Amino acid sequence: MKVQVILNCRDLTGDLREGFYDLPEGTTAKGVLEAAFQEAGKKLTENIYNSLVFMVNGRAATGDTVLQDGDKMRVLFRILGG
Amino acid sequence: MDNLEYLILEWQVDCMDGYAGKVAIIDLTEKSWKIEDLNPQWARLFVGGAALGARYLYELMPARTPVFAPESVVGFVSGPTNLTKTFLGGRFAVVSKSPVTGGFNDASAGGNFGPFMRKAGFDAVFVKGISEKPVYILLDDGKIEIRDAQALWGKRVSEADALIKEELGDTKVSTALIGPGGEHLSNMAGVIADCHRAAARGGSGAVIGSKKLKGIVCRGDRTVPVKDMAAVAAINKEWNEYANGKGAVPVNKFRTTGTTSDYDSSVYLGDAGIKNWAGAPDDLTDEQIKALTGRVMDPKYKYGKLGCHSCPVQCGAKYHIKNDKYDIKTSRPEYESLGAFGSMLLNGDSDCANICNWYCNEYGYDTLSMGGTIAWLMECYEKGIFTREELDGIDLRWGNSEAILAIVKKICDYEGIGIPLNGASRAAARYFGKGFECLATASGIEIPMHGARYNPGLARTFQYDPTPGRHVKGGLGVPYGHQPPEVKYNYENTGERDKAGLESWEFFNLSGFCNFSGFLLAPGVHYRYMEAIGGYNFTAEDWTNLALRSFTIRDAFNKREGLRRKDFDISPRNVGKPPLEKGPLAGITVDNEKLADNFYAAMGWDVETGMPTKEFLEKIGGLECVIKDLYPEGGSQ
Repeated sequence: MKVQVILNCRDLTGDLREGFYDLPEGTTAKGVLEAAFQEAGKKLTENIYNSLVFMVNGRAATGDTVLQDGDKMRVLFRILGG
Repeated sequence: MDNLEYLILEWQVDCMDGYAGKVAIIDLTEKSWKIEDLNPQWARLFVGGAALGARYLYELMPARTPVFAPESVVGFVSGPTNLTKTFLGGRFAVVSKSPVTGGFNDASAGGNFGPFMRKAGFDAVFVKGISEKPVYILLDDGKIEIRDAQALWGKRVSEADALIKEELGDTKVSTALIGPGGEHLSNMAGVIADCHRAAARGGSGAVIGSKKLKGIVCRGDRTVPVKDMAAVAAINKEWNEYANGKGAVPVNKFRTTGTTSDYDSSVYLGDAGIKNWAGAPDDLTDEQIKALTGRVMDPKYKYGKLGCHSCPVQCGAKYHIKNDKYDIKTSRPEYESLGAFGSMLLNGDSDCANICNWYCNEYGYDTLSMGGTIAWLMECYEKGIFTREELDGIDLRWGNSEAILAIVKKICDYEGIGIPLNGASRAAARYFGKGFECLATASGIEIPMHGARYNPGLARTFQYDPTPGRHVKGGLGVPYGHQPPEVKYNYENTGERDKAGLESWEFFNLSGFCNFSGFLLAPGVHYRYMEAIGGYNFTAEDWTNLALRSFTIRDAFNKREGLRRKDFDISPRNVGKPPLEKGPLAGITVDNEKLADNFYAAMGWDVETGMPTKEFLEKIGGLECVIKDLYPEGGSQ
């Protein structure tokens, strides 16, 4: 399946690629992000993962949300306040 | 009570560690002052900041004093962490009655002012009376001067700051000043510390302006006694490990782009206000949202770092905005200000948002109330409630950056439509007799940029904190918004968690710690710092009671004014009445009254009136003044 990844957390994810990723059916939001990190030669650490939240197709999601073909996943900061 | 008395008595033996030990009480009508010893019992029971300020205000200001009367008091209060080398311990509070809510008001800011007030030899200064002519107060190495400020009146904050430094022949001073906003008694007026840190919510700048007081200036070289400076230094040393380990993510994030790093995330989640809280993320383009993030703005504007006293993070930045109309040096707007001048107005023009922020710092206005008021007016204009002619010819369409700047300038210059708008949105609606349906306020205070539909616990805080409309007060708070929907929108049994949330927020507001220290310092470090500074020797129960006492004294000011639960409101749209029809929060309605019922029940207060019970006051201790006022007959209700 193909899912689109948009990163609104560049301070944490650096130069990870935005765009479409080809992944096996049943991949979760966390799995997609791990794949993106892996592609960039990096590792998704627990520290970073716990600082992020996900939206899928404009709705709040969790790392366990299973994505479908054509989904658009946005990765955001877990808001700390300000 | 036995334990409480023991704690006070024990502490007095090696007294006043963590304090300068002096409080100034100044009467501008009489041009006189008293320098008193800090009340040691109050220092122990209320510690500092908003809580200690509330206790003094409760004593110094008679009940039902009109906000601009000579008897009205405004206080500037440091916290025990200030000037102790404690990391992230640089905040001070401004306390007064609010011209907006008619109740207690506290607002806080960082910068250097709190530590400098202690360098000057004072823990707090309280000002009453009204000067005949404009003045400023100089706290100078243990001495007080009331100095002529006629040449400063009408000046922008940075102009006044520069003139004061020139007059004193000294740049090593710290200022907390009002701008023209405070001089015009605007409900949006705040105090600006060191030209870039604002204690601005609730209109305390107007109270200061009503006294013909331009502000407070501090200088000196005094130090504050610390019980165990070696322990403070040791905790500071540990910080590097935290900053490079478990705290690396928030520390690095705040070091690079500060609070602006959350802007786009907040907009997409629906946490930030969009289109006067009636919009959804897709009302803005991705480019408009991205334009106001630090990642995009920093390369365009940043020319230096900026931060508060004793802070190893330095989350601020110096910005230079240069275009064909403006050439200004300012500070990077905080997240809240970007939301207020960005998504709230459907504005993606970063020059415009930065210049609005500059206007607020220079003219002494609260960015949240300024942005919220313009958003209210934009919606009114869209709905035809106000015509272009009524807005002095300004075409105040959503996202029209030229119009946004024009209306901000009208407000700051106190001209035309800008004059009634100085009252902020609710007072302006009352003045014109229209636009009430477009208000987004809590008891008249414009809602900050973390909404209650995403963070439902904030509905109780916004409506029923003694200072309404704040996201930095106790309760379930912002992090609760990240809970899954089945948790955060479940309104059963929220009271104990809400009450528990008071502890950290009240603690920050009374200690002088930055609110961000909740994640920029390692868990548990705060209380170790407090022990090292002042030898508190508090148990967990003591800290909890301190937080409850802090909340209660702030609230008791309101209760003594005759305000009850029914007197506090929140605009329906901010709790999803009606719910949004699109976006990530479509269909969400928050049960704000149930949250409040749960909270008051958990506190053991009267649920209907929101009154603290006599039993509660006796149990917490140190609140005899409140018992005397609220229960004069000795009854329990």
